[in-house]
Amino acid sequence: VNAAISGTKGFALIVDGEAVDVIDLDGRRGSAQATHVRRMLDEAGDARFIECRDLADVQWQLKKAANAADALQLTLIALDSLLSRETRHAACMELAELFKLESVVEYVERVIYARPLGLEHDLPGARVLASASVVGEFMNRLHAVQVASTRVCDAWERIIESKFATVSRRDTFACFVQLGVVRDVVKAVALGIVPKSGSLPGLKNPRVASILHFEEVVDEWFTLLKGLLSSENTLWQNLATEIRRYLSYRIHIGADREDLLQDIMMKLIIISRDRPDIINISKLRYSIMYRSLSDYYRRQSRASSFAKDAPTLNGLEDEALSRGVHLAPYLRELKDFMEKELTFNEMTALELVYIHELNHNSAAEILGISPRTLHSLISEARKKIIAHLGVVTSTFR
Amino acid sequence: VRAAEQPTNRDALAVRYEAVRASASERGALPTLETFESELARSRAVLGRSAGEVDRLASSERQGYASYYQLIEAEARLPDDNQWDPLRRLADSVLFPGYEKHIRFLALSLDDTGLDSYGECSLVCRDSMIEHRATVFEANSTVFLGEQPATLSELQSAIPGRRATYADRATLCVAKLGDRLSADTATRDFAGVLMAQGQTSADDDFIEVNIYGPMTIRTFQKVVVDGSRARRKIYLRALGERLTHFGVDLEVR
Repeated sequence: VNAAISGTKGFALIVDGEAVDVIDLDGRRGSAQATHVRRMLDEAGDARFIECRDLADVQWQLKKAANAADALQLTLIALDSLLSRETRHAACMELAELFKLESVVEYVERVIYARPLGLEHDLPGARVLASASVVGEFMNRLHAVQVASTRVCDAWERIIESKFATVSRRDTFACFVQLGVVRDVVKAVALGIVPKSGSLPGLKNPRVASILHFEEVVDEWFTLLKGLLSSENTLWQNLATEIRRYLSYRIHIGADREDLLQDIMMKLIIISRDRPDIINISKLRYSIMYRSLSDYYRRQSRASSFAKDAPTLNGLEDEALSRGVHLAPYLRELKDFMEKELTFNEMTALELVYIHELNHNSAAEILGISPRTLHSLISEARKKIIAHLGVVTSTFR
Repeated sequence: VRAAEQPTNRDALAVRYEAVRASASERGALPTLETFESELARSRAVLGRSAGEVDRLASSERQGYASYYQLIEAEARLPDDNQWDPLRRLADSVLFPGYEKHIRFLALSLDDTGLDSYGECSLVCRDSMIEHRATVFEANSTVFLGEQPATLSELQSAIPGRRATYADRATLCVAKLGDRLSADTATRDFAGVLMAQGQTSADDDFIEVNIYGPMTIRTFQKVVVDGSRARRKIYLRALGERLTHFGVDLEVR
């Protein structure tokens, strides 16, 4: 039986000689109307043309495709930052049922690994909502491949146009997504490896053979990927230590700190394509780090406990000691007081100006406030500290 | 809109309108016709689209509803591989010379239901977003012009009196549909008189709304969906929440 199947549309068209029938998910069969054909060909992004053993096989394939389409839709709902927690959580629950089938997980991975998530997706939020479940594990894997996904797409876009002989860049990519090639490359790159084309089962599919010179496309793709990995490794080596130290003042949960480090590095990698000198622009880096940190706090819904997670004196103490300034007794004494009395912005203002030695204009820009407000923040913080100890003004001068 | 406001078009429409009123008066259907005309003031431009397309539009206000030609230019779709593509191009170039690629096609509805052939969801336009850039046409413009027994040079003469500005839509509806009303036609039947779903899209009978320029989710005031067609209730819940962000209501029937 020759059939066209779409899980999103929830029906299959069965071609029997001149006649075309339609069969739905409940097994109802009838003559196909023109609208069925149009919906299958024009609207169904997941339409597949397959040969089935019999009608029961068509029905089974249709059910499988519908489960996969539902799982993808539910994943997008779970990730949607516009939606309420309740709706997203309900989506995670329904998704957990569908994810019991390995083929469904594989389908969603094929599609969703193919592009890095956009600003409208709230992956950290979805990870919290789906934690400790099969969906949570999936979200963790999705998080782990975000940087790799950016690299893979970036390299793909850099392939020169003339390599695409008979099939366009977009259609070739769509074919590679459908056959799981992109997912396999992303997974390998996430491990720091650029795969060999012979190791990718998707490339052995007869559909790929119909793409003229596809080997050349893949070769160039992988060469570009190697170049990207090398330049990004340099960026990573230069900046990761500094960012980790910045985060260690503020986030005490190791896993969260590493996640945020990944997020910040990904943003820096994207920016570095237009600004290769990002390593030398500390203001821009701090701005990104500050905003990512603020997003993190917002996501954790811990605005009220900002002060608790604000930079601790441990970090400042280490910093001071590394400069040979023996402030430990004062700082220890200050610790409890500052955690209770200074706001997150006051702590950050102090640190940007006195530890990272940014000028007032740069620090104000990072905090998204005017230099005058920054000055007020610092004055206020200093007044509080002076009032408490009376003797530490020189420490921050 | 300027084409619809041309005196030749307005005069021809006025002649048709008066003729229909006179005919209704003769058969005692004038009160019904007047009720029909006043009901038409609350008619809306409705776009029929699939749930997937509505989801896409509702995902961001930066997602646009592109015209047929813009989709083809962007290689997001292929031209129809049947008699419709050349006919459509011909009709559009006659009706909207030089700006056909900016026109979106919708249908006028009294019950906020769109044409089934184009999708299971009905997106109801916000009048304030379209009334200054929309006109209405007698029927599916491609089908209408395709049925004219005229030569290419004579096609233009088939148009006067067949279109109106959006604000003047009731006049065109009366001119086209007034003869179908009788003294016994009930108010609840008006929606079916204005729009009749056919076996295929070519058989649909409706007043076409032509809107110039971009459309996003903010162009719409309401989305109407058939709840029985949603595979999972959570899809409707998510769609409702997404639409709320853009001030659009969801009505599940």
